[in-house]
Amino acid sequence: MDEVPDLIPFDRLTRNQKGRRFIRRNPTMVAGGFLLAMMVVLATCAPYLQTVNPVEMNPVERLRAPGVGHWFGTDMYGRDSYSRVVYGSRISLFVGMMVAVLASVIGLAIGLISGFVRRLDNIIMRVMDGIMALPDLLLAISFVALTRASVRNVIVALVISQTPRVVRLVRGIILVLREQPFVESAVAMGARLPRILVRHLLPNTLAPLIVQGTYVMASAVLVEAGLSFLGAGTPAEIPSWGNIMAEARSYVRVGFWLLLFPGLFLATTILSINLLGDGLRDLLDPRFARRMR
Amino acid sequence: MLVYILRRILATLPVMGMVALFVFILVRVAPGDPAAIIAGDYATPQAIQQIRVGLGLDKPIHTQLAIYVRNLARGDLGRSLHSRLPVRQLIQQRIEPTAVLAVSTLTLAISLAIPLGILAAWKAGSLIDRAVMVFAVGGFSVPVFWLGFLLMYAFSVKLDLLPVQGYVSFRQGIFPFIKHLVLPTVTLGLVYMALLTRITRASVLEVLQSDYIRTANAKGVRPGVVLCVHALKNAAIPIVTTIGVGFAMLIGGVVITESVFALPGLGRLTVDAVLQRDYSIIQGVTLIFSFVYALVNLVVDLSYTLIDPRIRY
Repeated sequence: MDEVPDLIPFDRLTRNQKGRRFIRRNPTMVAGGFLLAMMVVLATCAPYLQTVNPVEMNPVERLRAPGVGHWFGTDMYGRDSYSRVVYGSRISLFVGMMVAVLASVIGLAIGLISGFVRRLDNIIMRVMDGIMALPDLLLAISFVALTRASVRNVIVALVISQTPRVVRLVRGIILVLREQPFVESAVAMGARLPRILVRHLLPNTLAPLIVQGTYVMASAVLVEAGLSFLGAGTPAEIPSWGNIMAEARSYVRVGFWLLLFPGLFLATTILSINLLGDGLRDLLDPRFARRMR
Repeated sequence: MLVYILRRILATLPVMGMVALFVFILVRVAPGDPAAIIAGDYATPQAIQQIRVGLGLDKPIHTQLAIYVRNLARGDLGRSLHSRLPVRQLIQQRIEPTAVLAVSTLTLAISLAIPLGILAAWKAGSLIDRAVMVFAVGGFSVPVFWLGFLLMYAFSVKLDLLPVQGYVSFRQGIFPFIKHLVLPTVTLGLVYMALLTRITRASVLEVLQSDYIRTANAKGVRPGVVLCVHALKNAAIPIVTTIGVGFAMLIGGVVITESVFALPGLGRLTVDAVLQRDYSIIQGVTLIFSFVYALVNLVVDLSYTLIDPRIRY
């Protein structure tokens, strides 16, 4: 019974068998999702994971190598590196998720309008092209430089730079969809514009949107870390992986563990998000294509 | 065709205009008074006003815009707010390391990624393919600055094979030039290479399913020729597009890599300007980068005609 669950109709499988089949068929998505979930657990349960106060300085203990009391060693001010890395996950994940959600929602709205309302399409796309002509990091740096370095400004800057990607995606789908018979019949039956957009067009954009959202999140986490590293992101009082590495850069010789661990966590997080996105794309796209026909 | 090129160059002007306008607005609309920031925490209101007049920020906004546009048309990018040096001169001084790094990274990435992608597509499903895909996804997820430090630690600190930081100009000796360039190029190139390998593999894989490939193989054409001539040419368009799109990523990476390896290029200029809130430099550098990006996209579009003779503009 266990060896050939593929030949048995779906309804006859137990929940356990369904779960195992899912894992077998979508290894990338499961791996990515699992890793990401671990990071979220790390971020939310930070105080309960044997951490101390991440900003408490203890100069007596400065630059200790990873060992018993300090699993990731201590930094140049004696702060516990493990606690800082664990708390740092909060900023990265928070920024990543906020940017992904906001960019998706705003991009969806703009894309729906741009794709369907021909008169506004040209000008909207010109503006989007203009924003996309600025490289991500530069745009974010410029914005944060002109305001203050704070988490909120980083999120705004990243949303501005990531939204055109989403708009392009949604608009592309809408351009194809609006020629479909069901849209024509909806218009013929007298549906108003908002109803057409929300009821008929939006559901078809959701699958690619979610996939794109994961990639946006990965970009956001990466750029936020880069910004913090350059000193133009999260302010220094709040530990963020980029911040920690920025402070540690002078200590390559004497305290390499300070650079190793935050970067390792950062790379793992981004990897997990990318894997999740790839897995979701493989899962959702063929179905999406089938639904279109 | 020439007409098309001219038309495209003209078409980039509105986009550049948008970028310039966007940067202009960004500077003016952002909260916080630039003059106050420059004057410092303890400045008197008169000092702030003096600085504001000196920067031309007291004029009405449309006058400022007119001055900005007029200066741009003359090629004058303004003066640095802090050093009062012309922005153009600062950019000219710093452009060499950045350009060298970008070119060497592009060369390395393209020359390694495309063969790797073709190999993975040819041996699809095999261990080689899996290994290449792992490399591609992993390489894309690694943050550039972390990788830089890792490589720096391994090769410079521990093994002492390569210099830790800095840039040596080509004129001061070719060996130091190359040695200083190796780590930054590899660091930046890895991410770019990962992306390009993925796209190459996907594109070539799709092309290999085609009838004409099957015909070529049936005719007895050597696998090397089939792959590199028939398959690659047909798969080239998405690959070349990605090269262009990845260029924006490259620019962001250049800024970080220059910071990590202390290369005195445009990236560092930008970062320093950010930390000092020197808006003129930020405006100028952003414009330059965007212009280069637009040029790269133009070259990419023109290369389509070389790859696919059916495309005519």
